Amino acid sequence: MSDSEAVDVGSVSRKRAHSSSEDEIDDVVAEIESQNEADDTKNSDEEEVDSEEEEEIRGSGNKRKRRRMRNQFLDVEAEDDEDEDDFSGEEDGLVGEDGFVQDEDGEDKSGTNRVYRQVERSQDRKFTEEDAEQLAERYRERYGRTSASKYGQRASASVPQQLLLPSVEDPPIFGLNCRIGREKDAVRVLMRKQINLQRQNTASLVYSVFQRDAFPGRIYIEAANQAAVLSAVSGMPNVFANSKVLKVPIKEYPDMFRVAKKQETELLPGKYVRVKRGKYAGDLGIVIDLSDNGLEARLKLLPRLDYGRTTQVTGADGSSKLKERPLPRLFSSQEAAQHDPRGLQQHGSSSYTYLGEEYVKGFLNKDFKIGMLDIDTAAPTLAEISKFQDGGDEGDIDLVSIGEELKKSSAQTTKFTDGERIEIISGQQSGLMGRVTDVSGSDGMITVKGDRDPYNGLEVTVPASHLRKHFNVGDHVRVVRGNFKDDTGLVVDTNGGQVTLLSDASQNEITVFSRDLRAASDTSVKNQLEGFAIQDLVQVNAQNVGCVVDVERDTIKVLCQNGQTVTMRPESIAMKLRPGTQKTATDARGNEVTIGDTVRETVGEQRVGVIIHIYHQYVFMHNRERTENLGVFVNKNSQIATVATKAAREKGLDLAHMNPAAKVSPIAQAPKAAHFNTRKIIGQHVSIGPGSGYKGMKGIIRDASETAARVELEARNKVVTVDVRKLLFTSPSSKQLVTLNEFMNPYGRGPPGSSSGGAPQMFRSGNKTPAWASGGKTPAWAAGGKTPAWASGGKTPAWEGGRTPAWNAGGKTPALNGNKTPAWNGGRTPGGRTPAWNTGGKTPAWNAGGKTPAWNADSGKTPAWSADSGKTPSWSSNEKPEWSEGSSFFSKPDEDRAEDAVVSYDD
Amino acid sequence: MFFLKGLSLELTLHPSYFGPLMHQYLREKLLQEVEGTVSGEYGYIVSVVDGMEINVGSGVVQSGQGSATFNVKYHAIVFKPFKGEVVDAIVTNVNKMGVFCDVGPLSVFVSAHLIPQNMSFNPATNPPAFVSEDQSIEKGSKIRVKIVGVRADVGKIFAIGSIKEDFLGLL
Repeated sequence: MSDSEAVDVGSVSRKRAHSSSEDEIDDVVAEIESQNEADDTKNSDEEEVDSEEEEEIRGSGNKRKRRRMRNQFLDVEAEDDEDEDDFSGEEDGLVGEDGFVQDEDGEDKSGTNRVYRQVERSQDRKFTEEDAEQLAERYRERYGRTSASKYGQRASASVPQQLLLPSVEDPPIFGLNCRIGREKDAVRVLMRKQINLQRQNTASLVYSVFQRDAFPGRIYIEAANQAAVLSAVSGMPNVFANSKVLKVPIKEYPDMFRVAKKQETELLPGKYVRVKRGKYAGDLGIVIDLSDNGLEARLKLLPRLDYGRTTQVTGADGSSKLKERPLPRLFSSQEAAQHDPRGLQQHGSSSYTYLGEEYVKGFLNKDFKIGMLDIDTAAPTLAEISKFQDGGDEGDIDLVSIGEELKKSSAQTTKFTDGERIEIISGQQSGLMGRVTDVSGSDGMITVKGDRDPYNGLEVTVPASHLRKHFNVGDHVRVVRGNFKDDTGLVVDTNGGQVTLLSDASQNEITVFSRDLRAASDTSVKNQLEGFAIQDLVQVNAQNVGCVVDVERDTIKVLCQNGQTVTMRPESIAMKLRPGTQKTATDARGNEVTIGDTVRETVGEQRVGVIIHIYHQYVFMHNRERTENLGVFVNKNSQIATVATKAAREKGLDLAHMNPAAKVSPIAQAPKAAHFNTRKIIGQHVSIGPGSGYKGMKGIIRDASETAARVELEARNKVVTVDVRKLLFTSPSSKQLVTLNEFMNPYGRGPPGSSSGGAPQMFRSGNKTPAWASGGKTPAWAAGGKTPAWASGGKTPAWEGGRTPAWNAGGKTPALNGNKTPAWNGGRTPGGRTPAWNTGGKTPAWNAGGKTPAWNADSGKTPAWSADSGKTPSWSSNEKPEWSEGSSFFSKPDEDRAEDAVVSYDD
Repeated sequence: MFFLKGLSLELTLHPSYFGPLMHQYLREKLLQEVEGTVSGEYGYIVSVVDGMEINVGSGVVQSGQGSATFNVKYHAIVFKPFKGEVVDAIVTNVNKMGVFCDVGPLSVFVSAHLIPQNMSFNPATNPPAFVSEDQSIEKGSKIRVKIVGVRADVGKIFAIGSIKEDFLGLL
């Protein structure tokens, strides 16, 4: 009642039989009770006085006795306002009358009577008190178990209200048209009129007049009949008595007085409001204070300032306004000082006055008339709120406040589905927890079944607005609406309608309204937006790739290869890269790293992470414990070092495919021509074999690759390109034409030992610089070859990287040096040094014992190597036999050695 | 909770593996395939119990391929976390949101909401910790946690826990 706009003229008709509001009854009752109390205290006081004076003034104590006696028998229910009034008003005048009655009670008994009554009354009072309690207990026992009583206090309170509903016996309510905007005036005038009439004892049968803001242009009159209404309003300005008088149906009475759910919003500090007019029209503000008279509110706004940069235009009405409204931005004292220093005053560290307005922490604090503010439908967007967050340090966003605003703005009703856990939050069944059993009811009515003890199994149908989804800590839920749409997570906290959950994707806690949540199935789909999911590798633009680190409602956050994050729309992303296209990279130490390996940065923060993507030299890593960018970070492969290889690196058995053990080892196969030192064949005289257009021609190789050679033909002055495999080389030993393979691996054919002792053989080996080229075949090579450097051959970056040549590495083995230092040294020195050469000449020993220890081989090779560099005559000369034969001392020891070697071999 | 569970796995064997070592191959492959994996239904397969026989059975040769398929039956110790289960865990990471801890292979998150009120996050300590007057939960601490929610993904189980009850928390 208090909320309605009714002006009650009920004082005139207070005593009418019905009263439409409980409050009114309460008031009346309270009035009566206080009256009684007052009387009671008066009594007791008087009684004391009486007992003292009784003896003397018994005869003449009529007045007091009368009062006492009267009150003793006074029944509260029988008390009448009028009586009371009369009594108080005419107390003295009625002495005699009442005294007479008093006398009738009998004067003798008065003394004993009083005592008796006192006792009786005290007992009575005690009894009634006890009795009331017992009675209540009895009632509880009798009715306490019914389901209706479980609904709590509301239910019991609502019963009398039901009884108070108007019936046909109540006076009808008539609605009349009146001038719009004058409703309240009309009601007031009618009230005054009624009071005047009452004073003249010609009160009409009008009981109340009221109007409702919801129905402009109408006043309502509660009267005994229509005639009374018409007589009441006759001659009244603003009321159109001639128009149709509408009789309100009885059923609608309660609705007439129902206070709308949408109450006049109370303006409180912290609320979001919008400014209606002026420079800040439409801007969101936060109420920070209210003026004492309640007419003004101090708002926190984002200032729209241009610091006097734009000229102001003076309007026709003389008011000056800016041509364009500046964009809302935080107040910048620097700009103000720069452009308009006169208007700026500083008060504190972050508090300024600029052009008469106050700015605190970048926000404008300004007083607005409440009429200027849109209080009910501020409906702030998250973007606006976040702007307030940017500058301020007021802590977290007040979700409750926003929630209220949003609720008002979007009358979206929560969608309930069968089986969902709910809680009834308003209405009679408030507090009931249960599950939805039926959502098909009309008008959004939803049937729910209680499943907690007091209401277990109870099925009720309630409007959807009375329900709230209920989640327990630990539930796995999916956000179905709002900014975090499609996020899933585990509930970690619930607070009324708000649920805090730990997002599966981001491992961040987010707080949302329970109405925006739905229970999720146990398997969660990753956050996706148009096919882009978190941790996907995407092509941002032609130059950049990046890793998706966040997916929002319509934007994607990408960590680019340069370490910067960009937020972009999915359309602007070029494409998604197939994961695992590049599986490996080398780390700072040249070791192989693959996706899934744990690596550590060698520079900077030394972050540790598991490789999730490799793109060219960029390696994207992830570490769960890092919070920024969802734990994803990027670095170059040259700045990471492996910590632990993926456990799955041990590839394990693949039983579904060919047993590797059963396969012929590819190493056992003939080395491919693809790997040889092309320098070795440059300068060779070759014949061109069949399969080429130059078949039968001879020439010199001028240049060669692993597949083709440029051959300068002897017959024609022409250089042609021929497949190396089609070239026939002249074997240095047999002088026969051999293929490239045979030329390169002369020892591949037949055991070298078989040709031991033979001078030509010796020579051959000595001369056979290509020995080196024999690849992994010769023991010499094996010795060198077993060092990783060699094995890696041309494949490893180490080799290619121009590090110390494997050659040297191999050559420097202590074994070699230890045994043959002179030889070696000699070998190293270009042919000019005869002794060196001599030692080098021992190589044949090697030849003799094809399987002599490695170092022998090496020694054998040494000259070869030198020769290879073109510095030894042995190599370049074609008259090798002479060379060899010419040095008799040279061959002798060789033979000795050879024998030794053979012996040792036989051993 | 740990269980001993009878499970089975289909393995395909290339004909080149047929022979006397076949069973050994299959056994090795089985261990490789299943140990340390997670299934939403059974949880983590901690270990294949070797003592109890791994029944390779007899394989069926696939028509047109020559490979044989074996249905290998085995017993394994599985670890499956349940809602309401109380477990002991080692803290792996502490941040303002809460505490991450490991229960063997299972990662459990204890949200700050589920940490008693008297413990508050103190980023100033090194390492960062949740501290109360007499306790401090930091990386490496052993805590007793009650699992309040479990999410099982394809290859991963994640749980959230609470220490906001009697007898839970720092050990």
